[in-house]
Amino acid sequence: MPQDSRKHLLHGSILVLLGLGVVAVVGWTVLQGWDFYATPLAERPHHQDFRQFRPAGPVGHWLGVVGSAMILLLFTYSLRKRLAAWGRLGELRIWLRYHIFLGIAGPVLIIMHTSFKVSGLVAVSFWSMVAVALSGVFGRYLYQQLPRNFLGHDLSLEEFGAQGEALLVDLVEHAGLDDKRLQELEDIALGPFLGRRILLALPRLPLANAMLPRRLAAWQPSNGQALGLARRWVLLRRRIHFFHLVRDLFHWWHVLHKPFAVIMVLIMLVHVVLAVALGYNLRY
Amino acid sequence: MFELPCRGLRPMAISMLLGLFLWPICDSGPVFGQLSPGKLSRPHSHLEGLKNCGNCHSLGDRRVLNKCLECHDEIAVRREAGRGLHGRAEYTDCTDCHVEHQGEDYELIFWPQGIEGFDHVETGFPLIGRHAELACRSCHLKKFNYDADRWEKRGKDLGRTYLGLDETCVSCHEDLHRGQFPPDCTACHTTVHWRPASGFDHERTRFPLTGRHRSVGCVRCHPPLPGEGPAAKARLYAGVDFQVCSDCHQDPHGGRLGPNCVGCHTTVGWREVDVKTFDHDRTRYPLRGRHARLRCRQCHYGDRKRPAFTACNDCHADAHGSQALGKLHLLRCEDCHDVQGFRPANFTFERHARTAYPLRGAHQAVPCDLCHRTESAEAGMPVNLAPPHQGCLDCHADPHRGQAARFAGEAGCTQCHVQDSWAQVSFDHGLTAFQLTGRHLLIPCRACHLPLDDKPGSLRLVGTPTACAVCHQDPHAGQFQDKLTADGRHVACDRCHVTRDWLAELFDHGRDSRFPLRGGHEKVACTACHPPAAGTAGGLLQFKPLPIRCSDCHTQKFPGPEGSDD
Repeated sequence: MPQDSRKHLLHGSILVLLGLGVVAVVGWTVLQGWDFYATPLAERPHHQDFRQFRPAGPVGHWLGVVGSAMILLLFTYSLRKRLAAWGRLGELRIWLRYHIFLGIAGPVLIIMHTSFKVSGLVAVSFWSMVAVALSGVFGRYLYQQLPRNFLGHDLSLEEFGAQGEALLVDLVEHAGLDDKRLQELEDIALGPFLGRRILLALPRLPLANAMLPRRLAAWQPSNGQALGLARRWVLLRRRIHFFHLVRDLFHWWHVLHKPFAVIMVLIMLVHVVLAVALGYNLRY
Repeated sequence: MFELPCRGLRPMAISMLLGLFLWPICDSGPVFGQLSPGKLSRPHSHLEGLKNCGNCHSLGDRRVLNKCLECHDEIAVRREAGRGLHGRAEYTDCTDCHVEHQGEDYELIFWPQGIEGFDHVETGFPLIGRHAELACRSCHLKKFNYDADRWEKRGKDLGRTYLGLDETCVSCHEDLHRGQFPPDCTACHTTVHWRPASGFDHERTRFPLTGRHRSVGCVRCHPPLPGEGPAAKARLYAGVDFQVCSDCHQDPHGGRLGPNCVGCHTTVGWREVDVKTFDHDRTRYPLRGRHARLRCRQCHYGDRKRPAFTACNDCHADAHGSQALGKLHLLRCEDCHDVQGFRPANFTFERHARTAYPLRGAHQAVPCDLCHRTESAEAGMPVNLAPPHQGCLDCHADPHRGQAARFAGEAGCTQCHVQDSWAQVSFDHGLTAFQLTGRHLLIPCRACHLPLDDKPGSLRLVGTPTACAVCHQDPHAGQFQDKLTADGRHVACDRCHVTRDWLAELFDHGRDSRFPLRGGHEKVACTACHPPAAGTAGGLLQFKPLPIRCSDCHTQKFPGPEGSDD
């Protein structure tokens, strides 16, 4: 097995185990505190499990501590990206996978910590966290749309176009692609987006990608290899079509994703400092 | 695309912009107030704001208990004393029950089972009896709050609090006793009802109720205290004078017998006198004599609770049936009788001597009632004070059954008898046909006058035989049967004998025999010629028949003079 695959499997396994751990913790919390969480907010203080599952209670507090720790920990990804000294600490895409995991698990635990009730200043942090997490999902989508080499480095549009040309050569050779068939494939690739402003067309991309197998089946490729080449060419064509937009959006996504993260962590720190200052330590 | 001037500062700048934008979106209100996890409840709304955090929270101590108690000092006092709900050991922190930062509409006081389901036992003041029926706000009112003024000055809403009530009854209830008793009303009353005071036991007071005091209504002894309105219900309980009975009761004796009624009376009833302790001597009628042995009811009964006692007949029936009314000297019972008994009467001989029938002789020894009998045998009949006394037979029966009537004459019995003794008879036997002479004067009457029958004193006085042989035996064994009395029925002993002695003083040998004594015969002892009768022991002399011929005696060798054979 290539070394790259072994790393992928190792970290994938670690993330699965961590994910299972988080799921177990959250599952246990939900099961144990279901009655409490299902109780209307106004009546919760009188619930028998209030002292356990409230944010300041043993369960809620530990969920907050672990969730906060996860959120703080995911910032190591930024350090990895920015600190040259950390440049040799593993591949960036592996860091990203942990970053994404922490970016999902941390907020989940924080949500459980809040017991689905937030107000005041920390609500800003909470909703910033939600925004960061959701934007992370969106960013991950955009990230996938940007072509990269096997090292994970961004490719230029020229390099991207060269990949497309190479695919076309393969299609002509293996699928007997002529102009008519190429035009049909061009229609399949960009047809769903034509006639719309590109910014409004981007949201149709996931659906169009999902519909792609059906469309390619209707195109009737000569064999499986031709189908595979056609699929790769269509996706590449679409990425090229949205390349500039996705690149700009990804740029702006950073602009939004990071401020939310900064707001989240700053307020969170205020919240933690206040809590600790008021005696909400780990002794119960 | 839009490019920010400095790539490194863009996220920070955008973060600030986003923060400023999101802040009011997420919540509204004072800026620093957003550090709060939520709005405070309305009663604590004055503590909102960052500057006020320290009013409730302490650095490094999540417990807010002490901070709470700084304001809620009334709770602090209760916790210190372990009183009330907040004084219970299981309530360690205020936030266990009173959760804050839940919004201004949040109700800080939580009733797990609803306010109606609250177990008041947890407060240390269980609701029992009528208390259990009351609504909470029937008691938890401002007017019952012992610290209402101070709390109101501190801005507390007394319409919300359930504190401020004292456990003493008088904190809610008016003290109908006006402080006469300690404040622990439950020592006597219950929460079920005010009346009767079932816990009250008069036995534990200084005046235990006994006898009829038990049935007397409280109000009879405990008068109302002056006052109007609800206060008019107050009665005097403490301080009721009870040392002496006259504190409550009128003294029917007018103080003559002193204040100590219980020396005679009991609480069972005024008429119920304790005979063991009652001293009748303290009354106007000391009991003496047989009066002392009487039972109270024998004098004090019915409508005679207080019998008159000035005269004996106030109690006693006149045993003499008003016979004494006409006799001034008999009008007063005590002149004759005393309390030692109706009998004997103290009607002395001297006083009897002044009556129409002075007692003399044996009459002085006769019990009165032998003469002064009742007219009937029935009890209670009047005694005859003036029995007839003209003659002895008015009282006495005639033991002679009229045999002595011819001798009585006007003197009656006293013709023979005297009052000293019946047996002391002074009868002149000479009035009879049988003169008593000689030894007859010495013998008792009864020797001749034999009883007529078995009745005592019945003597045969009339027809008593006078012949000697009736009374005397014939010592001559019938040798003189031919010498009879004039009636020819008996031997005429008196031909020879007299009553003085047995000697035949009247016998004349010449007259009464056929052998007159002459000569030497006169000198011969009688027994020389009259030897003992044959066959007798020697007591019976042979008088008849005797031979009168000389040879009948002298045929034998008669003994001569002493020493001779003739």
